[in-house]
Amino acid sequence: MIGRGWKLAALFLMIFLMGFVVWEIRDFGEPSGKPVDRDLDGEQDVGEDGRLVWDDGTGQIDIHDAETNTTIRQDRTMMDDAFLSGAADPNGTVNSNNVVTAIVFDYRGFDTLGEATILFAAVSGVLATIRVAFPGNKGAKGGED
Amino acid sequence: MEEMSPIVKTITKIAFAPIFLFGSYIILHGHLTPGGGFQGGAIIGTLMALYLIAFGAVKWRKKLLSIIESMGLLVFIGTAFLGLTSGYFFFNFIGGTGFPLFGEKLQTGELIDGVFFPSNNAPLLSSGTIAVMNISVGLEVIAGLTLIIVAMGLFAFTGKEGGE
Amino acid sequence: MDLSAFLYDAVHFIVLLGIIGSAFLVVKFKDLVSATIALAACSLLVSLEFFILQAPDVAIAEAAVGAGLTTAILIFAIKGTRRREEY
Repeated sequence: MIGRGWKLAALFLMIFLMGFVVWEIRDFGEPSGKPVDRDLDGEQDVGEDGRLVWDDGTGQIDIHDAETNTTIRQDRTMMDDAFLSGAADPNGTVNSNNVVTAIVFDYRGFDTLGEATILFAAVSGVLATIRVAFPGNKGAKGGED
Repeated sequence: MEEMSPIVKTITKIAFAPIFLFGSYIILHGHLTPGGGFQGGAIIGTLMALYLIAFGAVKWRKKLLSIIESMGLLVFIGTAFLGLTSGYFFFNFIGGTGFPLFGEKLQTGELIDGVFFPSNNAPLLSSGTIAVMNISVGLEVIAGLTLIIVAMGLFAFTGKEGGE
Repeated sequence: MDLSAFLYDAVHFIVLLGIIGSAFLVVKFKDLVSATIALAACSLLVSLEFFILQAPDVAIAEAAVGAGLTTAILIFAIKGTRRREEY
């Protein structure tokens, strides 16, 4: 068995690491470093209001409404800019062609970490339950192993 | 748990390799196409359930499966922590840097009549830590779901744990 | 209304009706293995509905987990207990 001191040490280490990680997290919606060059002129594209520009100079995005077959133009937020320019851009940080995977595994990595931890806990719970319900019958008869 | 008929066993032997290949494809191409670690791992877990039903209680190496599951989670967390070397937790420190494994850049698009069209032609070894995390989560899900299936199935049929 | 949009809506409607029907059958059956198979069919139709609504990630996960693993685990549980539901 592990002593109580080691358990406390592991708990404090985990608390310290989590606190450090949350302290060091980057601001939401902030583009993460490298310049974005979408029209291939060699310099970073910035709109009139200082926001990053993706395809045209207006800082807006086209949303296609399939029901009425019309296109709505809407202001892009800083979050959209960060996701689109960071994920699918060759000069961005994430460099993933699949923006959904980029969001799941990079921008929202904490969600995936929690999901993996939940799966681990579920498997541990199932195995522990079956082991507790039927202890010490590894050599018992009844069916081949 | 008894075996099933030779028809089921033969069909399982035939279908094992294609289903395994499909699950591996879903995992390994997770950063290019829909899918990812969890989806491909669930497909291979279903394959393991089929194998268990068809062939009964063969020796399942539960120790090895437990180790694979723990290693998957540890590699995931470790990759997330290695991002701290470049500044942030979960930072993609390989993507686009030219590193030989998963470090290739995406191709730039082209300008047609003043409108930029991004390229949809991405190399397989791109996207940095996302591919590493996909593979580690896939291994973890494969091992975890196989452990649940083996534990519940063998327990339900024989009343005891199966395998090592 | 052109034909393709009509077919799209028709398939969508049929899938939704199938979800409701199979979900009703899950409650209706007294044979638990039949109820499990109906649950797998419901899960498969939900996966198809996800694909129609353009969420292929969720569709793959739902098809693998809902139609495959849940059915296997439920059948194992039924094999360990009784097959007929008593009321």
